[in-house]
Amino acid sequence: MELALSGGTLPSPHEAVVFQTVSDGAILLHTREEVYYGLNAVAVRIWQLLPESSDLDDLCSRLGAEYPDVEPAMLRDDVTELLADLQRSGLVVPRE
Amino acid sequence: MSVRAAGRDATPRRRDLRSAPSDPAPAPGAEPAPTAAPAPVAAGRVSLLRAQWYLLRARVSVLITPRGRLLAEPPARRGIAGAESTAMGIWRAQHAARIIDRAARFWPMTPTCLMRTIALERLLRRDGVVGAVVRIGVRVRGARPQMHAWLEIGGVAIGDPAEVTATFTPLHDFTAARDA
Repeated sequence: MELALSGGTLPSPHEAVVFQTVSDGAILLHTREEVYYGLNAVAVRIWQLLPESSDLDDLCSRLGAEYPDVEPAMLRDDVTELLADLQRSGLVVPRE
Repeated sequence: MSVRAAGRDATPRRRDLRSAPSDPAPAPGAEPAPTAAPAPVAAGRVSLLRAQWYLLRARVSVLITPRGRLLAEPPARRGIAGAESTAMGIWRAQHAARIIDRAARFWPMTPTCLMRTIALERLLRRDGVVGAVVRIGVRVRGARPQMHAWLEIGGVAIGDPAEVTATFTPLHDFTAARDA
């Protein structure tokens, strides 16, 4: 699974994406692409940490602090995979 | 909680807004969603044919319009000049919605909520009823989110019972883009 994380740089949420929490997760609605995307509780945390994290290491470190029982390598794989999915769907764009 | 579950639970992943069903199905074992009472509607043959025409155009639009061109951002609040015009617009819109629903019964396939809403919005716009927005909302039934589209004027749901639309959390407002 490839993700354009050059130097661990994180993408940013697309400006046309609406985020709305629902029970046990959240919905992302891309208002231009007319698609929506379901996030579970962990993915919601990743989405929320995205703007405030400086890079992938920082995001994984913050998330790891909330889920100390998870292997760091597995956590990083999951974050990378989720961000790749979001990028493929146009929900995030490269950070300027 | 395993992070491995991130984005991979029963929640559907990428879904197309255009495939949202006509009437959101209730969760298994749940009470069925209340439906609009079959209010009598005085609709002549011309009105029904016109409603069918708008439904057909909405269906074609949903099928062939490129992504990003079916729905548009609503203009800045402009249309409704005052309470009286709002009330009149809502009354006319509710009447038109009943005609659209009646026309849809003669269709070989049930139009989706988005088709029905687009048809109604365009018909009202053509008739000079302004201020209508296509509202997209979400609710969770069971483990799955359900998306729904409906029309609102001045905060009043048109064609859908308020007790049903109240179960959805609004996500975004659109207008139907003009069709070709």
